[in-house]
Amino acid sequence: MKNNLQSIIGNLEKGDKLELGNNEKFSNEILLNQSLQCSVLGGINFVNLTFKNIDFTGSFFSKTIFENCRFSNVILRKSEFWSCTFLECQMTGSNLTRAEFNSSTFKNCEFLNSNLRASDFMDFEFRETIFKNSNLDLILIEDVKVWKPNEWIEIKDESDFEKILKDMNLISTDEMENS
Amino acid sequence: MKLLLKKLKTYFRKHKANKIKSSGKIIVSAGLALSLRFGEPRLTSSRLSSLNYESQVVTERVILNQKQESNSCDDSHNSGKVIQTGNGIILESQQEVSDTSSNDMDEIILAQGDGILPGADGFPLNNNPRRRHPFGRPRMRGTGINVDPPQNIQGLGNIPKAPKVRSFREMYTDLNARRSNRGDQCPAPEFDMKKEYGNFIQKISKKGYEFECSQERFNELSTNPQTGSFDEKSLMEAKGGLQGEAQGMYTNIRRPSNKAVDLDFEIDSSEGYTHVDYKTPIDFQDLADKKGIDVSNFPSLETVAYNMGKKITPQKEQFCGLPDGPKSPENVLHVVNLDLIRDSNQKQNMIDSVLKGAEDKGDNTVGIYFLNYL
Repeated sequence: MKNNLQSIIGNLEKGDKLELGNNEKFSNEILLNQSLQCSVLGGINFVNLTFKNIDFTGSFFSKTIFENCRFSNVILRKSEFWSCTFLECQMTGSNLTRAEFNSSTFKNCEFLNSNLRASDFMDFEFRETIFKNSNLDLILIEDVKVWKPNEWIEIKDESDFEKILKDMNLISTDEMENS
Repeated sequence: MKLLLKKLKTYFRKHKANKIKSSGKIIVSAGLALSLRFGEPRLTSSRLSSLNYESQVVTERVILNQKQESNSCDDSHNSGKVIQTGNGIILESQQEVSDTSSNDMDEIILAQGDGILPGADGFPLNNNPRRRHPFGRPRMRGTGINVDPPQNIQGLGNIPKAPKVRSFREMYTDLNARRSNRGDQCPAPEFDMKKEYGNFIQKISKKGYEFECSQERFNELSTNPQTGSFDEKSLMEAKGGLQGEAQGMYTNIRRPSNKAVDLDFEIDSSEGYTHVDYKTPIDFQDLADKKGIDVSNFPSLETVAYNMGKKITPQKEQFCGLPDGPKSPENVLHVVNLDLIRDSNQKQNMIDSVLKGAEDKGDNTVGIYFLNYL
């Protein structure tokens, strides 16, 4: 029987946390209006999922792949990501403040009106990922690479990061577009 | 295409009068029709405006007067219905909530600040150049290992004085107020705070600490300052924070007065600390034993702890110089709460790894305390 994330969440009792770690795959689901704070997810593959109004505050994601997922008004504040891959994902109006990313990758992702303030990227790869009207203030960077067509550029510090992304037109705001 | 637009205009004209005026406004986006017709993923507002339809139009959103799927855990916004078309387009229908009849205050919670969730509801975009260190980059002090030994030992330290009582403002938490407090529509988790408080007091006295803390203060500390409501994470921080106070690490722990200073708490300390940030690592082996999850899908606790230590050094600088923020990194205390780690050998390994990470990163292990490390 195919596992369904919606039903797993539905079966959680009050006070239970979402804790999954057995190489499961969830696809083509829409997850709406859930409080899933402090979830622990490892070895999960999410394909074509829509997360809308989901609160994942303080969650832990490990070896998790998000492929072609849409996040709308999702709270990932103070969440940790270890060896995670975001592929062709779109995050809109989402809160990633103080999220920590370790040994992970964003590839062909789009951040729209999202808040990444004070988030932390360590051993991280950005590949063709754009940030529009998104807050990257106070982020911390260590061992981060950005893919510039045909080569990886190593980012030395936070100010370099923003500059390089702006030079590559990967960061934009409405004001920038209007001017 | 033209024919379709014409049909739409006619449809809107016919239905405008009797549907828009009702409390559950029915507004049909041209986006739905066009997307369904042509399978086009997006429709920009400029294209929509060409329909010359004067009513409110929400791009890619259809607002219908219908109930949402039963999977929602929050009836207060139980109105969105999402349709996924064959080519993966997500179309959403949602009843506009215009019922403000229940303006009565159904409960009061204590909160500080405006309680607006940054990011979830359109945070003010910082268009200014980076002001990471507006008053100049702070310098890290000291080299070598220095772990402030007395404070690292449970049971030492004086019982702190009764905490100062902070002033609060009442915050209405009826349907609409709660929604605005939380940004858009993320459901707020529910907690029995009386029970949480009782359990905490019981646990802390079992550990041998005499500690006075009112339910009111417990609630305040358990309130996420960014959202104005209780949540799992802020509750965990509050329990650790209060235990730290009970152990005499600092006094007068309270949530930051300036939300922009996104550290967990403000404190008073004879050691010069003004802010504290809590780290509470998870025990994956415990999860494996209890829930049967495959622990190989998770990093080792030593790796987690080592990276944690590496990050602590720059994190001490992160909010320095902001109004009501720490003046320098030396004013920021990091407490690693090992309460969730079962095995005492594992706890020791984690302590070593945290300190190693901090040392490798900044030659500095000052301002790192450990809680529940035995």
